[in-house]
Amino acid sequence: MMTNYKNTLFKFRNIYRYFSSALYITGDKAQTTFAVLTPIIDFEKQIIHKEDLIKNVTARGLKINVDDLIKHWIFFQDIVKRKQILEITRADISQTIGKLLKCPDADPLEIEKFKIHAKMVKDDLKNLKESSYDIEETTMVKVLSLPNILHSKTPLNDENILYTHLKKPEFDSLSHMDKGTELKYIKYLDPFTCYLKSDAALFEIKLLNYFRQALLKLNYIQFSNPNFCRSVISEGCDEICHSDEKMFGIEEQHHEESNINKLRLCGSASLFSFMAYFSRHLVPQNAFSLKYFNLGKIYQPVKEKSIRSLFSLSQQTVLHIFTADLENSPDNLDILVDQISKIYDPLGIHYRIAILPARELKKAESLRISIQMYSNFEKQYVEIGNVSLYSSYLSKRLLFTYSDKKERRYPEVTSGSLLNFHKFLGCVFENSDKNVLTGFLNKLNNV
Amino acid sequence: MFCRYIRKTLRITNSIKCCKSTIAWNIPKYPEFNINFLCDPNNERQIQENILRRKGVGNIKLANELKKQIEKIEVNAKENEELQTQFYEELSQIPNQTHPDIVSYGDEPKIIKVVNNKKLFTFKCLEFSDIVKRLNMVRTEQLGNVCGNRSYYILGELAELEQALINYFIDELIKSGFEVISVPDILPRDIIERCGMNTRGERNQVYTLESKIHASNMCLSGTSEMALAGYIAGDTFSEADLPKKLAAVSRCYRAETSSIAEERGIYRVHEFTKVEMFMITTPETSDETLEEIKNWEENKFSSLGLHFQVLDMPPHELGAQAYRKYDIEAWMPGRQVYGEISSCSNCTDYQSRRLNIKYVTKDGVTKFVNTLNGTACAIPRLLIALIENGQDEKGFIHLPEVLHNYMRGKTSITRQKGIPELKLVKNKK
Repeated sequence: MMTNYKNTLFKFRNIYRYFSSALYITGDKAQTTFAVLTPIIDFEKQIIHKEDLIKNVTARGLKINVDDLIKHWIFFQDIVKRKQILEITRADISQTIGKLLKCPDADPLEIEKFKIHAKMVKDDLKNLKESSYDIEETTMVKVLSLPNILHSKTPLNDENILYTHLKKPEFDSLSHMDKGTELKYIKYLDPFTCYLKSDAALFEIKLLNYFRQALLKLNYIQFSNPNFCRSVISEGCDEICHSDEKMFGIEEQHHEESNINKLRLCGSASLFSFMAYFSRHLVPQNAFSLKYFNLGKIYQPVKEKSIRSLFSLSQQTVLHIFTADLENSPDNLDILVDQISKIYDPLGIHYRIAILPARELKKAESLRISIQMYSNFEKQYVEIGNVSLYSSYLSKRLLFTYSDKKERRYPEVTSGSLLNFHKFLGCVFENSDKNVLTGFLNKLNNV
Repeated sequence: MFCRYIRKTLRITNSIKCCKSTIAWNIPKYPEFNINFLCDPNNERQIQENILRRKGVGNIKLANELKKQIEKIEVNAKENEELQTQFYEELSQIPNQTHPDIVSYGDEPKIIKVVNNKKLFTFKCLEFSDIVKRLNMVRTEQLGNVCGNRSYYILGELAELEQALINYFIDELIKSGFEVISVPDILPRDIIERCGMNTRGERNQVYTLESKIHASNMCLSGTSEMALAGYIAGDTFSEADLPKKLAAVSRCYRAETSSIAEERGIYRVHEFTKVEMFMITTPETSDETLEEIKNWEENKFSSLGLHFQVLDMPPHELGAQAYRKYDIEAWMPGRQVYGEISSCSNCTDYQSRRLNIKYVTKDGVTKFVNTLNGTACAIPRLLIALIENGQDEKGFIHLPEVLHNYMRGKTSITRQKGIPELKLVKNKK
């Protein structure tokens, strides 16, 4: 029987690429990487609503075979059960040996037989444990790679426009880079390096202050967050694989290579930074709702050969909001749209607010509100801000909890970049044939 | 003859592009050092003494030896190219010259001015970390495994105060004729090193992006001085355009660590926000400009009601790039120490030679500019000074009058009730 297990385990180890996750640390890795937390995994509950899960995966266009995953899950659970049986058997045998040793009439041959049995069970358990770490990690990483549930208002096909302000500017325009460079507002060298000059730099400061003041009036509280996070947070908030492609890693002195909880540069105005604050912490129930914001940067790798654009830079200035509510709170979609429009309308620009269809969501998102301006050069809408609903998905992965009647609960998180300044600036340049920044600065001085 | 040869070599090498990360930057492969001065055997002793005085690195003897070897080899020989690289490598290690006034200071800085008096308290002052813990304004605990060591969050009204300080200093800089530039925080290693900061080795202060994965040789900027110097790299100004005054707000990243008791809490951290001044002048006016920057800083810190002392720093406290440096240390009554909150330096032509920043005089002669920099506002330290000086017995922090408008009319801040107390959750599988 054990040989069969070993063969199957071996097959599994060869089928799947071995990937090390900082979010889910198995026993063998715990010696080199501190297990910061263990995510809540409720796959058993998801299996009950298997059809919903399949619909969700299909709507998002994900290549996940739910049936295969369930098979792996069952196989892994089988191993867990077998480990438990072996542990119980080992305990039973050692108890029996203990009793026999105390008994003066005991047959030494029988004791020896039990000892041999005990050794066999111990060896089996050791082998099973060692080989099951790979299976455990592969299965858990796959389960943790499942998407969040879809919000009932997330459209399955096309985006749903909730609000439009002013008319779309229909004229042809040069690209914002050409206009910005010609007006001496931009000095661009590569996706890492984009300077904003004179009124463009002032506009950045003033516009962010305008948003800041508006949020303070809406009783949001300002945070000043760190710009670094560790892999456990990036994996908790986003996908476990591909972190290296999506986020900058930092070389750290005295950091062992075997420690997979790496330092990453995410930017303070990000979901990562807020989730790092609350991860593996309990917040008193009466503190909710939480409404916070941070004004700062986001950093992300961009292909070196990307086209010259403010829309794809390695560093962008962002105002990020983060709210958390008790489980099963009514969704605050209408309130959010109302708040966004109250902040954006006075700026006198054309923009629209849309709910994106399922296929455009990130796995962690349940619903995404997209704030869009029109690019007269690209002839398409560009997302200059967004707010996403995450339900309890992130809280469960990163242990952000509260207690209700002594039971652990997981807050529902809503978060997003309310304004990405660089993208906003690009659209502003293209939405007008004049130099509009002076007018904007005057307007912001008077708002 | 040798100079002519060097000039010829430089003309060739100027057109050679640098490493991948600096391709877009307008910087020469080899800096245009003041070879006439550095390689004059009569100056060797003086340069060596300067290196020793500054306790810095640099081997002028070796540089001169390399120069002699280069002169013996054919210009086009492969060995010549290698020697050239070595020669410029050695020259780039030589620190800037030192202002004659400070040569006699020995190891101690000279206090040149004391501004305002120490504030008197009728109760026992608390230090910053105790105050912000009591008022729930900063979180530093349990962050190493999620954000990195020495991370911190500034919360609620204290985060508003951080923003108020940035806005106040930016407004004051604009009034003083500075142009604000929004700068990148990730820079090529070359730019950082040419500004005078070491980026390699065990004890360097510079974070590097993982080279196996991302573009190689990209580092996190320790101060926007580097981004601003890079911004004008390769530029030639007319004398009439000088002085040029630039300013930037940026996040500064420092890999340094500290276990000194005085530097506990958020006194020395791995990242912080800073408003920086950067000035470009003619060599004739840079001494005077340094005094202007110092006076500007004194004036602003005085407007915040702080008691502070201005120090003229001794040679060994200067970075390789600085010719002279003033530090401003504010009194922190909770800690009972003076803590550095600002500094300003004259780098003369150290950075401009390495980054090829020049100007044309009224007479049509092209020369290297001088660069200077100064801290307008470095957040954690300035917050420490303001919070410790503004505290009262009842748990309020009284704010300087000039900041009231920037704080939505608030004259004081107190306990942050909107920030919940957190309880660590035990890990269980």
